[in-house]
Amino acid sequence: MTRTHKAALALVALLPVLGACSSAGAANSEGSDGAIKLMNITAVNSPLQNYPDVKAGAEAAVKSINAKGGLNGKKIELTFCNTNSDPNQALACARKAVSQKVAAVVGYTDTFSSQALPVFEKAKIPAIGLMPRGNAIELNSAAAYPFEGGSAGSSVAAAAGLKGEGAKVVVSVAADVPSAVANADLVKKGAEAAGLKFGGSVKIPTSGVSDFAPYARQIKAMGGDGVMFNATVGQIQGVMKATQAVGMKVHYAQHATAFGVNEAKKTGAPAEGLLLVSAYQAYSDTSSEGIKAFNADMDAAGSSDPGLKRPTAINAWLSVYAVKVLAEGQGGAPAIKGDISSASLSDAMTKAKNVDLMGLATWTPKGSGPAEMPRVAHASYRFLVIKAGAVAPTDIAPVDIVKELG
Amino acid sequence: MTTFIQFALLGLGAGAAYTLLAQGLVLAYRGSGVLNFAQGAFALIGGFLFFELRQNQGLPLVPALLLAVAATAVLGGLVYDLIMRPLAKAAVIARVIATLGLMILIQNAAVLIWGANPQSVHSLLPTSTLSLGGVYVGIDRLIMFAIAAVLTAVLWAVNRFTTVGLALRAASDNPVAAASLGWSPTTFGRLTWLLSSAVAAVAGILIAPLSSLSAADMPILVVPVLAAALFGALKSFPITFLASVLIGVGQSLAGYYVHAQGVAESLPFLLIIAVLVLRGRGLPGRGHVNDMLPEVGSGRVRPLLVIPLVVIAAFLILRVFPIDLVDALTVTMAWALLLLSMTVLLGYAGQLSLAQFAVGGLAALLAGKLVNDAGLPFSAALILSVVLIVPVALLISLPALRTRGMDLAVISLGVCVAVTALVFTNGDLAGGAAGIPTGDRSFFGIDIDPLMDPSKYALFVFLVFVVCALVVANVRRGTAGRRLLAIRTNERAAASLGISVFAGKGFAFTLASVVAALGGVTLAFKDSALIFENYQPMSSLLVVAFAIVGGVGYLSGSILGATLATGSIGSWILMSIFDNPDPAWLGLVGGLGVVLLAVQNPNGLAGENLKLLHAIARRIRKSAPKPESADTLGRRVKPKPCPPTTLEVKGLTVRYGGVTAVSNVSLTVRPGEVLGLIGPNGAGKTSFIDAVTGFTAPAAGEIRLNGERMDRRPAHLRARAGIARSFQSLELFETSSVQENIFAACDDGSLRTYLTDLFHPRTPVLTPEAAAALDELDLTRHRDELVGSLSYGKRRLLAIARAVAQNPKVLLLDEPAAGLSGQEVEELRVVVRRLADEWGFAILVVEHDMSFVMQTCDHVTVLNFGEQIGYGTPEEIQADPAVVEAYLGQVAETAEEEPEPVPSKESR
Repeated sequence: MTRTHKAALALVALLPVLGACSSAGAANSEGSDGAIKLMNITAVNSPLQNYPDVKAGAEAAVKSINAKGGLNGKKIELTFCNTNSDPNQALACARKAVSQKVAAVVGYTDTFSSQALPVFEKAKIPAIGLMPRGNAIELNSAAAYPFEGGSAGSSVAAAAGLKGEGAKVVVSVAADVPSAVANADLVKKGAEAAGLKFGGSVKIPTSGVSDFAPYARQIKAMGGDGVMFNATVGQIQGVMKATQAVGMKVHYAQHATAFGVNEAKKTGAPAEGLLLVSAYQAYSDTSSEGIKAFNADMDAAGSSDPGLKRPTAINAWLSVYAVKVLAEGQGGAPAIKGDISSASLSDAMTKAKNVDLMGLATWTPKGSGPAEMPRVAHASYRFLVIKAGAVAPTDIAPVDIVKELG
Repeated sequence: MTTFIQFALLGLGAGAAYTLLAQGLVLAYRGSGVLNFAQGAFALIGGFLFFELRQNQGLPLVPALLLAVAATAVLGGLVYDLIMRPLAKAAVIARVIATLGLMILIQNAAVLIWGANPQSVHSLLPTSTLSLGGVYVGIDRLIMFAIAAVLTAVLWAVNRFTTVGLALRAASDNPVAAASLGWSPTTFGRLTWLLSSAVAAVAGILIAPLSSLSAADMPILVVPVLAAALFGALKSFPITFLASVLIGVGQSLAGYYVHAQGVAESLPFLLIIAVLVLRGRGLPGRGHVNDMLPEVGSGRVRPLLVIPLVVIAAFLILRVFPIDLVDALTVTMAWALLLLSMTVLLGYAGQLSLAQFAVGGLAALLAGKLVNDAGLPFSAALILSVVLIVPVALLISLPALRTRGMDLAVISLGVCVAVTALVFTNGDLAGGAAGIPTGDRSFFGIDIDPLMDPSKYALFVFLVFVVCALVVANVRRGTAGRRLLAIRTNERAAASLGISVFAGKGFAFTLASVVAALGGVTLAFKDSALIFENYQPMSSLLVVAFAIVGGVGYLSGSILGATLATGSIGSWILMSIFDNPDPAWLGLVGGLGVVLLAVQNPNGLAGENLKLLHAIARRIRKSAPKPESADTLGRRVKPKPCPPTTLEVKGLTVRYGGVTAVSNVSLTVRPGEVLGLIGPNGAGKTSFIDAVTGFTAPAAGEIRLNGERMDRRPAHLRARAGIARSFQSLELFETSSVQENIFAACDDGSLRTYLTDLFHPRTPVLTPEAAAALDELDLTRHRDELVGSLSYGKRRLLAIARAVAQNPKVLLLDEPAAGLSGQEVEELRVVVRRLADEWGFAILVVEHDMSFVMQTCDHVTVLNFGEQIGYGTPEEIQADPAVVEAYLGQVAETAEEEPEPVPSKESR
């Protein structure tokens, strides 16, 4: 063996020791100067999930609040943990939150919430503003405090938007995985609630697909003129191009949380006119004071790129302000006088009702919603559209899915 | 009907895409012998380069196209020179794993350069639609199909009608022979990789507009493409084209007509697998060349080292390590179990199955159902799931009986794809989006719930690994391990020694499935719910990749390899040093690491580490004289004559397709007799022996041993009954020692050994017959030498000694004197006579050395064009005009010309 090999082996042998020391150190650390510790967890820059906007939204809110004196005279210390779209890393991030004794996890957005939420439940750490991505646990875990129904909610709402576009027959196009297929069932419910015909479900395998023409043909065979996607961006691009290539006139809808300006830019012309189902207004909707505040914070934090202003960013930004709102006492809950901790936040959330979140959402943390999303007491969805590469509002009336689902 | 035609036509686009990728794959394989898992990644590079030059830089179409294709081709050439050439002498699997690392590297490099979001690209083909009687098809799809067909035709024509094609075929079949004729394998390798990468680039440029340029999706297209390439036996361009189109059309039709979960995705793969399995054969043919395989460890366990290590590790896990490190250890140990299953399957038995992760996943699903639906406690569910997975794994292993090497790899990958599509993504079977709750985890009353205190669970998984590793070590050291190694090295030779290849493979798959099941269950149950939609075929590829990089033949290799898994110790170290490292950088470094490790250490890290440790230990220890081992070889034993046994063959006919190799041949070999079987090349002599010993199925005839019918028995049972043979091509276990080759012949074949060796492996002992065989052929002093280091003459003698060591009653020797010197031939003659006269064997000798035949044999049978044309004493045969004309030379011109005098039998 060469000397290089031996040196490499020695270094590899040393690394666990270094790592143990650094990790052990981190486990015992506390916030500097008694700061309020929050954590944001999401996946950034992985092929399966990519939410740099979530990180940007949370950071912008923290920066803004700290600039105005923080909460109860204390600064917020925000830690970020990247799950890398890996279930083991998602668990590691949850463990990190526990070891760092964070007061709350804010704006959690990740597919592997089933790894993290049980840990949060056991440690009694609330996940405030968790963005549901299709796992049932996100909508019924005691540690989950979503502001809206996530992809489940927008799946129900989509049909109303497609109806507003003139569609008569709704077809669901979903990736062939259980979470997406479950949302496809909700598309059907939404279609029925909106008085539209449901044409059927097209399922696309997650790998090995080189041509989407057959799936476009399936939509046509079902008579679909309105399509709601529960699919990856690549699958959406493929289907839209395939339907347009054969001259099919179809209205499309997609979750606004997974499709923003950057995705529209990468998709190009086929994305023009794509309806986005969103729990929040478009970042460009300057009629909303809440959106104005969001834009101001994001721009001040250096995140003015419209690609970073998807609803997921708004949700993460709002989740930090939710902590502020609880700390200050709103919605019938008294202000938190002592430490802002997971215990005091949880206690506040038990009492809070119909909390106004910057005019962008109404939130009852411990409220009960419909069977499909028990933790979501309020969920109103709006319809945005891709116009000239940007996300713009539409005139289609919002729909309250809690009422729709009964 | 219109709808049927419509969806069939819609499948042409995908069929064309698969063709373009598959033909490049076949081309690279034919030129270098490597199955390139990175073919889809090269397509991605070509597609992105074209997009960058055309849409971002604004270059005109043709220059952008040529530059993108040329750049990708150059990349392919560089890959060949920098990675494949250094690995030329390594195991084929190491080269394949290097391409896997390359795929990961390219995938993540693309993310870093062009971002994670898929990129929609414009088509460079017309996108209008053609309508024919209510059936619509895109013009671009038709053009793509035409391009794929033309490419296939060009490749076929070049292969068939040009000198380059001829040379390529030669190099593909026999690189050494081709090189001796002046056709450099390196040149062909480089050329084919250049062309293959260029074709991949064209594929990427044409496919991207149909879907998107996606770093996540395009590289994975290699999975269905492999099935098409394999259908064409990795050499036929037309059949590969046909298979690709069938897959594309099949998927399109299945997607519309079949609504059951996963059927559309898995059906084409399953159909092709069925064809490949039916096409395969039980034992490899004569022309089959065994691939180089990675080194294997000894399985020796040092209790004085292992016990303290286990105790210290337990203490550290329970008391010292922080929670995140403990979590990482759990993942590492669970993955180590999966990799340990590969040590048994690939390291020892040579079975390249890519289904182990699927086996582990199925076991986890079973355990989850038992806990959640049947209400069983975790410990009972764990044990039951491991037991229940065995028949499932054996079912998956059935293709292994008829296929081997890369065929088996792709088939098992196809099984993995099918299991993923049909089971893991089936919400009804696998718990849906919510998954299956794992419930309370306790092991026979001891709480090991990992949720808040993962240390007990980590210790549990660690101890499971230790127990499994000890069992696997026992197998390695025992007879079962020797059988597996024999099968791995040379299935034909193993069967000739009475080793049931079927039983050996079945054992390997069974044990491997148990270990993989334990890995799968412990990995899945560390979480609160089992979510199966994350189980992807890629994970099965990673199991093999990590096993190879770690050292698939070594127990410690499984731990080393497991540190590369995401979430394991390796990830933990990186996360501890770098705060929130970019996953694309992690992937890039990981892929590069796999490539470099495969190139630098083709036998894996464990082998290198052990050599280093041994070197250190040797320096520390004062060298003491090695104690002379107990004389297990015994003193020279006068052989006990075997029971008199007669071999009777009646009316034997062997056909290969339309060719009759042996036609109605009958002969009898009596105890103590040496019968010669001679004839010109192609007369059917080796086919005769193959048919008698069970390596070829006869079309007609009977084979009897002392009146008992043998012709319906498989090869290994005929060997057990007393028919032993040597091979023309020797078929020795090249990487083993002389003694180990002989040990393989001493095996009594008992199936109970597979069970007892798990707990108490027997120390190998040379039987008196084996010791006497070594003495007889003057090989005793070479017993510790590796076969590869022996002279050719000694290797020939070893082949005979191994056959004799089986304690047979009948001995069939196929050209035992080939390549020997005059002196060696004379010594061999004396040995063969002694084997007949003193040992009492009935011996049939096939030989071309007429002097040897005439001086050694009691009688001679002559074959010509498969027919028997003469039988008699050597003198009678020499005088037979028909024999003389057919074999020995022209008939004597005059009656006065007399044959040369032959020494009488008494003078031998």
